[in-house]
Amino acid sequence: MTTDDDGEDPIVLALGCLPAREPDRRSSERVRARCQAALARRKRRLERAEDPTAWRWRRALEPALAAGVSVPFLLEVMRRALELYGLWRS
Amino acid sequence: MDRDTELALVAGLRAGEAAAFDAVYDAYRARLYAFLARLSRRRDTAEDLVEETWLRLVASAPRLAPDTRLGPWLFTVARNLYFSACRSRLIEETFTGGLIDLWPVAGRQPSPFEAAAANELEGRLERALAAVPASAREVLLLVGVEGLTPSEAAAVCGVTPEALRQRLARARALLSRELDATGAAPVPALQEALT
Repeated sequence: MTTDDDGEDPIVLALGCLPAREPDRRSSERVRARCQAALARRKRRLERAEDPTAWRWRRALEPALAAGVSVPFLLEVMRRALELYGLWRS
Repeated sequence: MDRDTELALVAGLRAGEAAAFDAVYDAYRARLYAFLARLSRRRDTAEDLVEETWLRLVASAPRLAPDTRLGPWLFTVARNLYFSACRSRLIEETFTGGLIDLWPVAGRQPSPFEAAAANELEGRLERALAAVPASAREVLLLVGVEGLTPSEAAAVCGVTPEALRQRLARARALLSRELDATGAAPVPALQEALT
């Protein structure tokens, strides 16, 4: 059997006449919207990554934010631990 | 879709252009859905897998090779998702038991498009296609319905072109037997009636 035979086979030709079918319109539009949103998110991420000013800000801002949240939390944990062992009175 | 348009769309997808995605989506939406619905014989399964296929395209878009053939790429993902879903379900069933009839792989199932067929012969062809095993059905769908070359279909199925041709020959024999069993017209007459 050759490649050419495949195209001329009556069964293969008959199958080629079967129509494509439309999916449910609502479901189809929902998928399109999800994909467009994912594409837009990726594009925004790429644009931010390419912007040197944003990159510098993020380099400075991210550690500052992380420290701003975690340092008070750790201090509070230590204070409570010391209080528990009677080494600290507030 | 000509090759230049396809290459331009691949470039657009790699750049994350919404218009390129829309064009690819419009070109393949119905084909991909029909392929998965005929392969799985279930509309709901097809809709889930179609969604996952498109999301995979979006996620992989930046890594697409510039000369990607979009049709074979999409059919490969769709086909792999279907067989991977079948495997997961079979594993689940070994633990849950008693649910075998709920899964599309098991037993004979009607074609989801039989009722929508434009004529009697088209309906018989849909019914016969739904009756052959999934491994035969996928080859018939890729080569017969979607018009992929045997080499492209071989790449989609992850087999050599020679193995694909053998599988196609077996699949055609099975489909022919099913058509005879359903009392359809002889195959050349069937093809004439559909065109």
